[in-house]
Amino acid sequence: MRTTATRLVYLCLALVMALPMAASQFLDVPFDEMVSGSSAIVRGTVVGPVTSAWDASGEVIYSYATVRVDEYITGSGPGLIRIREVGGTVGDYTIQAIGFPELRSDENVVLLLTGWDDGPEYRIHSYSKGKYILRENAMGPMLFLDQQTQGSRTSANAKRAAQQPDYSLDEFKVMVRAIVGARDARAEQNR
Amino acid sequence: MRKTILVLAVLTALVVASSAQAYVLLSPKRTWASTPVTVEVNNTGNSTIADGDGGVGQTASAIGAWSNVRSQVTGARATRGDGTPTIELDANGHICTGSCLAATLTGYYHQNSDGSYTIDDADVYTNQRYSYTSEKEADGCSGEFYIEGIMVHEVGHVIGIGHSDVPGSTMYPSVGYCDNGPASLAKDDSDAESDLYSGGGGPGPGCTDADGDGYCADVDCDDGNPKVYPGANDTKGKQGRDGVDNDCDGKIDG
Repeated sequence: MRTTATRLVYLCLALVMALPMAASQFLDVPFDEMVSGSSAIVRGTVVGPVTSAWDASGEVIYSYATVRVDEYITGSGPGLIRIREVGGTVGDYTIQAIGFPELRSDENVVLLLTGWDDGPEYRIHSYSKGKYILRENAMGPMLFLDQQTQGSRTSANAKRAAQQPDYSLDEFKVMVRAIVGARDARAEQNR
Repeated sequence: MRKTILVLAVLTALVVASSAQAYVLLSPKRTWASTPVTVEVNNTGNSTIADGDGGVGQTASAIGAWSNVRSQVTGARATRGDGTPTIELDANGHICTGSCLAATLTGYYHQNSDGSYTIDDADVYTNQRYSYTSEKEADGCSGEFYIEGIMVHEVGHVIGIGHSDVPGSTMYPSVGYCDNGPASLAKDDSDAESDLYSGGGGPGPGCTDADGDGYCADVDCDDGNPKVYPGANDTKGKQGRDGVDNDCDGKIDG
């Protein structure tokens, strides 16, 4: 009975995850592919200010944030990591990459991460779909997909959306670890 | 057991149904200083589009769906800050990679003395990782994305429109293979354009956002403070312990 109910919960969660999420012309990547494609999935807090700077070519503004990692849900690494995202403000100039994620000081987050080709920092994997805000409610720590992407303005449903978690932290971890476990098992079989 | 199934089904249906709302404008609300906005299409087309010019002509034609936009094909490349919105069909601008199909960089906007914002520049980049097609291709579509629909959507961002929750609208955020529906504006899209360029005024349908934090006054418990909005940090750090209900949950610092 409990197993069937649990499967139904995950099925419904999967249906919800399949809904198009707010992003600017992105390929809708299935959740398991997002997890498999991440080099690390972390839970932590954005510490210090988020700074912005032009790249060496003077064509792109990037923003840089430091995240204190409280837990590596997948992968491993240092306790402080640096994340770079497109967009930001330098002096009078602001660049917004519409639908791209942005990090803000003091945010408690769960992030799906991957690397950049041209630098040591991490970036959020799958753009806006790779960033969750972590908040406690009466049911415990909950994850909310961050809808405040660059250039976005929340609508009158913002309050309701902010109160409707996407998953509990525990559910998320179970799902992620199941995906990674299955992936690793397949890799082992193919050796 | 049956009760569990019913509850789960209702919850799922509620989540699905809750998404439909209306158009959303970019934040802060901003427009070009004059119309029509001339959007240039760089004449180096996309190598995956076999319609004679790599989708350049089709893109230039399609983006005229917006009544405040005219197109121009050019040999000039997108240059950030040059004041000319430009579409690049063969360059990702070092930013549109991975699962990104196309991205609009809209920045270079400034605030006017009356508090309004004017767009100074915006450019569109395309990810070369995927295959695209156009209505003019002779072999139809298979596992490809229509360039017309994608670019009409991106030009919506260029002129100041965000994503819509209305399924079937051009500014709906997701697009599937072989779906050129976004090339035709829905009423929701036209309403957004009219709001921006026909003296509609205001930050959006039924929304005022005095502090510019992205949350409308009907949900923002303090629309004069940009640090106060639903979901803000209200438990940790300096902001979380400032004696203010930052996240509008009725609890101070909690």
